[in-house]
Amino acid sequence: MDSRLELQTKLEQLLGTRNVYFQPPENVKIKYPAIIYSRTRIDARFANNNGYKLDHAYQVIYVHSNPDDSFIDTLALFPTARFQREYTANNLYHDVFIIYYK
Amino acid sequence: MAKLEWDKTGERLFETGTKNGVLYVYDSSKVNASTGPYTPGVAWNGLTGVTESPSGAEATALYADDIKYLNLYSAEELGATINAYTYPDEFAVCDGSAGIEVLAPAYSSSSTYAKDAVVSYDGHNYKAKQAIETAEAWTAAHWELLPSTMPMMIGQQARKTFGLCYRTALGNDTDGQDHGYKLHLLYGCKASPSERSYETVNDSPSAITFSWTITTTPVSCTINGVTYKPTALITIDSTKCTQAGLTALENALYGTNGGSGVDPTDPYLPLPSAVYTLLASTANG
Repeated sequence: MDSRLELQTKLEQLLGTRNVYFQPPENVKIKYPAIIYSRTRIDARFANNNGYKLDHAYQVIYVHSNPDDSFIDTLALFPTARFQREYTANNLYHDVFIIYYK
Repeated sequence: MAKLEWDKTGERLFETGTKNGVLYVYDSSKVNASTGPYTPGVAWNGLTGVTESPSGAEATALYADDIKYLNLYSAEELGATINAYTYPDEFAVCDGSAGIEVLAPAYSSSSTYAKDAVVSYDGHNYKAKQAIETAEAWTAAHWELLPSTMPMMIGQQARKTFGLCYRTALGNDTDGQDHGYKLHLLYGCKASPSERSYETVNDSPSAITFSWTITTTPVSCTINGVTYKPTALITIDSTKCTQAGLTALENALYGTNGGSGVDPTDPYLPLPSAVYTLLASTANG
């Protein structure tokens, strides 16, 4: 399976809903709490004068309205997850993580 | 002779990169008159760098008559460092491991076997090409040799000698990195024990880079009737070879697929005199 789709499935399983959106267009009506994620970087490693291994980094934003939402800890324990920051916008909390997946 | 010029167009050369690593394990029990003492080569994937490190040739000054009388030079040695993300299974015996084959139940001449049944015979695993419905003595034609997998490795064993070939790019100002390349052939290599640091997966993904320090034992080198000092390194510049000679050498180093009535050939590491023969005989022929 495509690694991005695998990540989509894993995030949906973690969240327990299908409110997981990959780079959603503006006309998509988002249901909260939600995870919105996008690819931010591809780190390439080289061998034999060629690209050898790629690591895809995703910015994963958990958007919710509960200031004590424990799902943040669940996301923080995802392998390779790194918490970056939290901010509030449109009366919703945004917790930003960077996750490397394959 | 015309006046010297520097950095003319097309002469601004540089070297870069490393790829096409091939490992050849030394096995004195399988010495072949035409292909030398190394087993057929295997591709080294994930090669990130090779550093050649000549050492020795150190001067010892002798004094006499109140003056520096002469310098004596120690023998020159060649070491190297190989860096890679992985290594071929065949390298394990060069890195102090012994591979153990897991054998299927032994073949019995009083048993029958279904097609694809796996048995062991004479230290190797075989798969039945056809059903053997009547018990028989071992018949090689009915069995297909399965490739050795060596799933079990034992450490701290004797280290085998190996040869190595790799290619670096030769660039210039007009052709870029496609100007040519150099083939580096290393003989009599022995890897020293090296550290492997395994770490937990974390928020900064990384892959282990293996690194091996290599010492070499030079091999004798008589080329075109001239006896040179033994050497552990030969370098071939593609821009200075004939295409036919280079093809002959690369066919030896990398093997060939064969086709249209021509058998495939195994890759092998020719000794220095054979390298010259490959480059020269084809060029002159």
